[in-house]
Amino acid sequence: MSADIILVIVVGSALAFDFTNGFHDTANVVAASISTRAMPPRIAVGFAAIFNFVGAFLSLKVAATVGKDIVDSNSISMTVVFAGLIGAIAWNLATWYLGLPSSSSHALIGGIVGSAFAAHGANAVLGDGLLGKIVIPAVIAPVLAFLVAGAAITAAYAIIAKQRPGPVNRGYRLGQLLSSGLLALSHGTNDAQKTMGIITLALVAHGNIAADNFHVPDWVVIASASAIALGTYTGGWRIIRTMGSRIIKMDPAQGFAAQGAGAAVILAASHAGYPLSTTHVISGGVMGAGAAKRLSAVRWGVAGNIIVAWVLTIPAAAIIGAFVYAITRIFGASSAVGPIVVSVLILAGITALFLRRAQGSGGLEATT
Amino acid sequence: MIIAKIIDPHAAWQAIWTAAVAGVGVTVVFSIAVLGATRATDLRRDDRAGQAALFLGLGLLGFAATIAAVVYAITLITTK
Repeated sequence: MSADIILVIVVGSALAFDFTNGFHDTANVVAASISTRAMPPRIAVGFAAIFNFVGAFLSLKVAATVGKDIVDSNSISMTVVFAGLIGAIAWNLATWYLGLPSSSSHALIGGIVGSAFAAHGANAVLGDGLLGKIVIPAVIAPVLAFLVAGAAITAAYAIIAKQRPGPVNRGYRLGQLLSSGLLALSHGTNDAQKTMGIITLALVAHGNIAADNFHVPDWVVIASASAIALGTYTGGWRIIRTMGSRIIKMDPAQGFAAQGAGAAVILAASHAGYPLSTTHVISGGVMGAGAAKRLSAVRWGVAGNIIVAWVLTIPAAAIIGAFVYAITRIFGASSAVGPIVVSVLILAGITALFLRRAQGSGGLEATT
Repeated sequence: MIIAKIIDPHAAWQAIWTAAVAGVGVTVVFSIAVLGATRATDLRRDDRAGQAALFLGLGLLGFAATIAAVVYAITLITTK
């Protein structure tokens, strides 16, 4: 009975994380389109939500990576998964509050790694998988997106040189319908799968699925796709502001190049099973498209703040995940009381955060 | 050598060059579409119908290549 209650809490937390992922990462998908006025904000967010939902059904390779290659699935309990999710949600909300586009993916992976480490020590963490599938791609992907977007916008400017800006801008704005749709699709493909992987990991821990027969049930795919799409539609306006105008002021050609480069990198990585941070990739693309035009066009101070958040994400979420696991253990390793207490506390914290924001008394604009 | 043990170099390299070719390629072919459409409009206004038709063809070709690249990207994901 206790295990069933924990499973329900874990699935609920995973879907809540998925919602915050969509909420938090909407900026990645729509910021360029809004910034260049290719689409009005509400339309852009709705557009991204639909493509996020569809994208979640396209592939399950990333889900398998998250479920099998980061932590040893045999040594994972539902409490570990729960603590990891809370670590990720807490970090996501903190960075959302501060307006920083940090990575939901790395928060999730950090949270799970931290709680698994706290529960079973270093043996529970698959170091090779963590390094080979997460850390190295996390370094390569934004640099690749930066270079690809830079090369793309340089080629674009060469092709459209000496043309009238009016029709050219209108053309690229139309093209952004395509590039932002593709980016949203790739976001759904890459990000929704991380939640699918985590829920499936919990089902393995609960005994619903055998560890040596890892597969993602259909209801998990549908629930995850719906949660990320709903989160995307709800939108994260603070981060949209940072992504859309504070790193660089984009023209429509730059928006198209940044989104095209971002989508290409994410889709290529998803195809290979790398659970990339879509935030890192599109930030790299935006900076690349700006830097290729003029190095000083990029507000490097803002970019620096974002990079600091990137570096901090995995360790910070890991520490929170380990801390939450330690709290739940106080109530017993297999007791449902710990997860219930933590859930109540985190809900109270979220409510306080939203109330504080609604009253206009808080909300650091850390990226200024 | 250590990196080659923890990361599949073939898969990583394939992801890198695919992303580079696709990212730059889509922008290039779409820019050709924009160029074709813009030039075709300007030339038609100057009563140079022949050249306008050529640029319109170029624009349509660029647009078709863009759509083809997008469809190929989606097909690649769904078939693995």
